[in-house]
Amino acid sequence: MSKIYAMYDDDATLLHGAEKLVSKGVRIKEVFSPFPIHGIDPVIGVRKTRLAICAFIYGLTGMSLAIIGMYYFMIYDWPMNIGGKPNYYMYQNIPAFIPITFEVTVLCTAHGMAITYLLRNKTLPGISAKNPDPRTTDDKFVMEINVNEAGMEEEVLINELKDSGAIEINKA
Amino acid sequence: MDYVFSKKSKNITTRVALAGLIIFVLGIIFDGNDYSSLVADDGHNYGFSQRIWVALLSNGIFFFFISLSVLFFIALQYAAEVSWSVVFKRVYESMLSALPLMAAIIFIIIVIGQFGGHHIYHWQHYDMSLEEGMSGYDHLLDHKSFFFNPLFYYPVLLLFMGAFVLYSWYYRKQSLLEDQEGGTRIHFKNFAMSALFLVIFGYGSSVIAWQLIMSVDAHWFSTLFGWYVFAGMWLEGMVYALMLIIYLKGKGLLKEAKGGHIHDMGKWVFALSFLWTYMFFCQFMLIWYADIPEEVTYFQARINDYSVIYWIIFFVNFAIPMLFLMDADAKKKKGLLVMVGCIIFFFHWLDVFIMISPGAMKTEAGVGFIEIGSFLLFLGVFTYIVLRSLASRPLLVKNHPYLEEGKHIHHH
Repeated sequence: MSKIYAMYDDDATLLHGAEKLVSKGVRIKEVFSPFPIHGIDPVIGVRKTRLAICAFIYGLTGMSLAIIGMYYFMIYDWPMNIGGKPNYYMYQNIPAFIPITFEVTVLCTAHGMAITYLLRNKTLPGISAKNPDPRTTDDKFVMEINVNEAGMEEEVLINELKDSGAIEINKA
Repeated sequence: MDYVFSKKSKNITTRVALAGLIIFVLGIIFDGNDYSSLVADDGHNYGFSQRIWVALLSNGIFFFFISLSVLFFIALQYAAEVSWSVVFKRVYESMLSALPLMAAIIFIIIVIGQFGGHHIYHWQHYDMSLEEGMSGYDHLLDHKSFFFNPLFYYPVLLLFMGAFVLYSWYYRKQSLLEDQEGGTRIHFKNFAMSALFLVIFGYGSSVIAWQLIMSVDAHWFSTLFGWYVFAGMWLEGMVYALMLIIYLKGKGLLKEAKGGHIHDMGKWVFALSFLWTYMFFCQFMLIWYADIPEEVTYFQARINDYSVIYWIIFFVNFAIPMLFLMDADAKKKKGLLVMVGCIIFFFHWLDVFIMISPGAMKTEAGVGFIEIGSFLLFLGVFTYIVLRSLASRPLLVKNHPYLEEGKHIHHH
């Protein structure tokens, strides 16, 4: 399956070019950019992220862990007497547990989200980057199109891309 | 298109104020409570009139805070060079117009207390010349005698309130001037003045919170109280501004605010609810944990005698915004925002009321005709002043340098 990589040197040019191509029925597979391009998601049809759902699950896990842990350590296994605070029942001591619950929830959510993000993008440490052109990590922007999904002849597509302001077109 | 303060709106706000006044007066006439527990040190029972003064003072403070927090918000927008809020600048400015009146009401009520009209502020009736060992000597009040000395208290109060009032006039005047003059001279002058204001407000908001509210519980200490009050007041201002904006959008005005702007205001309401909850809990947890007699008095008075109302305030103001406004789309739905906004607006009013009344009324405080009536009276008057001021000038600023950028923000 042959792919076309069109390189741009400006994110706004790429965004407008993408809008024009999509309106002509071209499906853009992917855009590589050194930073998030504002407004590109709906144009190239990126689906809404489900990271928030993961975050909720991680947060719930963290919260449960913290509460169960503190219940076991501080109430059940060996009731801790700290400053004469009531320690026989969980509910009597709950204000003291809230900051720790909060911290563990945030810890689990943040780490879980970061690891999920890296896994999903296949960018964990040690994994080699799948990037069509290393310059997209610096100051260039690349649009990836599958030719058989383009809905038009290859030459026409290349002309269209050149018209939209692409500075370089590579095939793979 | 500009806002016109129609006859209908005038009638509605006037009627809300009048209805409030009638309920307030009826509450006074038919008040059957006995306030026998409210005997002051001098043997005088202030009970009945005390309740009226507490209602007026807490409403004055609540609506003063709405104006004051918007004043702070304008300064913050300048100092942070924010563009999205420029389309709402006139809405914020209109809310400043009630600031001098509310400041005056609070000040007059405090001065009336100084001359013996009521007993809300215990320290006003304490003889600071008492020495240790003499009868009636109060160690904690003696310890705070510098702060409660009228020669210190009133100049400081006047200084901060005066600065706030002058600043509210300043922003309103500069805004009209910028419409005529154009250019960036006024903008950068406002920028510098706003940075100065934030410094004044940083001290002033805490000191005013101690002077107006914390000193009702004259024996009490809490370093976090100023921030707790500040978080609440900021939220109240944002909620009122959001309600006003949705009202204007409903009239087909403010066309420049397309979705994203309402969403941003919704985010403020959501985020500040969490800030308020955070402050509430920080203050409570530290005092609960340390359990020092001088600090727990405030919470004892509230949790022992007003436990239901006190915890409802906490859970409503925390859970309602969290559950209803968590989703990004929810912050764009005007109906939902109005519903959540009205609920937390009322419960933050209750929060201000519960900050003041148990200290002044002991166990005799409550929300009855007098409190609800005075709330409606103040709400009507405040809204009347705000809408009149909103109609008196164009609804959109003309020459703000960030106006174009602010109109075209995008959200997903």
